[in-house]
Amino acid sequence: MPWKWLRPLARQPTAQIDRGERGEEAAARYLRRVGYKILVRRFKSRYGEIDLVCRQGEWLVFVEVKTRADEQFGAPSEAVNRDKQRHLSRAALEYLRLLHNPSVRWRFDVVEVLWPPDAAAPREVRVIENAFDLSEPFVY
Amino acid sequence: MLATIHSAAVLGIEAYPVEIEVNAGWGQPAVIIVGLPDAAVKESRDRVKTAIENSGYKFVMGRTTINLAPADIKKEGPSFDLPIAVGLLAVSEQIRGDRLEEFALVGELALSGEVRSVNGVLPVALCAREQRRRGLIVPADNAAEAAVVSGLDVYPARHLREVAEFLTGTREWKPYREDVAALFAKQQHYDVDLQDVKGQEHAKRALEVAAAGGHNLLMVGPPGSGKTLLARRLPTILPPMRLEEAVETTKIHSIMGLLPRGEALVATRPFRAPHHSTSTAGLLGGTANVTPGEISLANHGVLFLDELPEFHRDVLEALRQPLEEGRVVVSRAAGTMTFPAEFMLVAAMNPCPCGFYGDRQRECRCSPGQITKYRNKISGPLFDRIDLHVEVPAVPYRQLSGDAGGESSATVRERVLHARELQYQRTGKLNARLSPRELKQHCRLDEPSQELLKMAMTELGLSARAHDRILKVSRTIADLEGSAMIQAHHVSEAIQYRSLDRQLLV
Repeated sequence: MPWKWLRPLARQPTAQIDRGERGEEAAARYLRRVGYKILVRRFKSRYGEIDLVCRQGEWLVFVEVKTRADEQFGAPSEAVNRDKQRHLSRAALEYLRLLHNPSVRWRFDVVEVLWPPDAAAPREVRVIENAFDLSEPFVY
Repeated sequence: MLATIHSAAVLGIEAYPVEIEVNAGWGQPAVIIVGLPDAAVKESRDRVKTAIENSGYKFVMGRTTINLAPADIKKEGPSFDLPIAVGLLAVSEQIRGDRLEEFALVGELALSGEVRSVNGVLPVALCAREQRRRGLIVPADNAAEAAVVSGLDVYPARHLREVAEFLTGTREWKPYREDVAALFAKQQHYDVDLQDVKGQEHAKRALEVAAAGGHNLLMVGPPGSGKTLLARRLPTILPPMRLEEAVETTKIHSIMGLLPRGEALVATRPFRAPHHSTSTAGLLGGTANVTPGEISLANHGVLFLDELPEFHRDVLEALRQPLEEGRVVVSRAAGTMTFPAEFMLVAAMNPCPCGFYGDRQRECRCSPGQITKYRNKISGPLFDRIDLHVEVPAVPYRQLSGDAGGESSATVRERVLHARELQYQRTGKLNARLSPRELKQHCRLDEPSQELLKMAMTELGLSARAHDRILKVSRTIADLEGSAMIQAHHVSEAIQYRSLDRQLLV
């Protein structure tokens, strides 16, 4: 079976996965610098993963990081589509449920990281605050 | 965290207080507006958000609920933008909220944070005074209008930042003052004068009689003979408006957004000339949410219906009740409203479809059938409510070129005022509004005039309906002369003003 042979190869981090991880690092560093406190990285729930959970002032912020080499195929944030938003919504509600639904203000931010392939550091990091609302079935 | 802002909204021609409660809760950022808002109110969420950010404040809130109380009346229009914005600023503690109780606010916001003018500020100001608010914050363009109301400090707002700083106490703000009496006197001035009309002495006299007794008037004449010109000058010979009358009329104009920018009062008698294609709702008031119509806009002034037979018949018939009562009751799904409609009706028509029947220069091309059909478009009961009919023939060239202008409006107005005074002393109302009983009591005829009227009735084939009209009009003519008794020459002049009853034209 050919895929048996390919398996070890697939486990190797690809360029994309590598860029994503480095982007997440860069985003966390950037957010910390502008006053976010990182609470959890890669919060995993049944429904999906949240890249960063932070606190900014009195806000609880769920952050999705998107890294791209360039904007030739659109802004990174465009990749946070409806499906992705739904997964994030469910994961965020799960997070809040684990804390017994505290009375806090919370929102979703999207961080765009632009990192050209051979550069040592990201070219640009942009934060979109309150990027989207809870998706349809979860609106309260 | 909760903030309460006071505002008001217009329903009919009165305003009712609206409390805007803003609550900032926890959860995800969202703004929810409840309390039966219409589309314009719902959209204010986005205008307000942008305006706040562009004014240098922050829009940081969790789940925010905005309630417009009372919750059972539909709220419409953008005038809640400003109070909602102030409420959001107060609830997020960007301004101090302890002075909010003293003020009422209205205004629309531009995305830049500038305050735009809104309709119906005068009723809102009256409502704010009733609610014993110390001040009212209105768009700068509406300040003059609101300042008419005494005992209320009016603050003209140009920008949201101005309002926020004032409420926090970091800005001195002088209330806008208007010397209403002086302004009122200054604005009571017409651009037109009776002197502008050349010739037509007969029609001018009829205008004077109509003005003196409050009679409705119908002018019949070929196209271009000056009917519209004359009608436009009727307000100039009516007595000047009293302040209460002006305020009532201004309220209606304010609601409809017809007040010129920065103007405080409708100080001159309104002259409304709706086109003959108008609908019943346009004339009487109505549409989905109940708004006043043309007859209410003509309140205490003149409603001019040009080309009377061209109006839809049901529209004209609908005029009958308001003509009688001086007010109109409009019932719609949104509710029942009473609007004032004290107006003088002046109508104009051609004598026949081609317009030249009875003209000295041009020949009429209409058949008798056509003419009858044309005249019959106006029902008897409506004719019944028009006391004076006057022919307005084409003006001969000699009179047009001359510059003999005749009397000025001011001279005629003096006589009208005098005649009205006599009427108010006698019955407390105008002759046009006399009941049949008062008519009997106050319009007694002497022997020769009785003879004359009897002869006119039989010879000219006048109806019983015409009889009462003639009595009323002759009473007014006698009043204009200052005569206590109605004399034969008063009656004979009055008979002249029944040309359509006399059937002389047909």
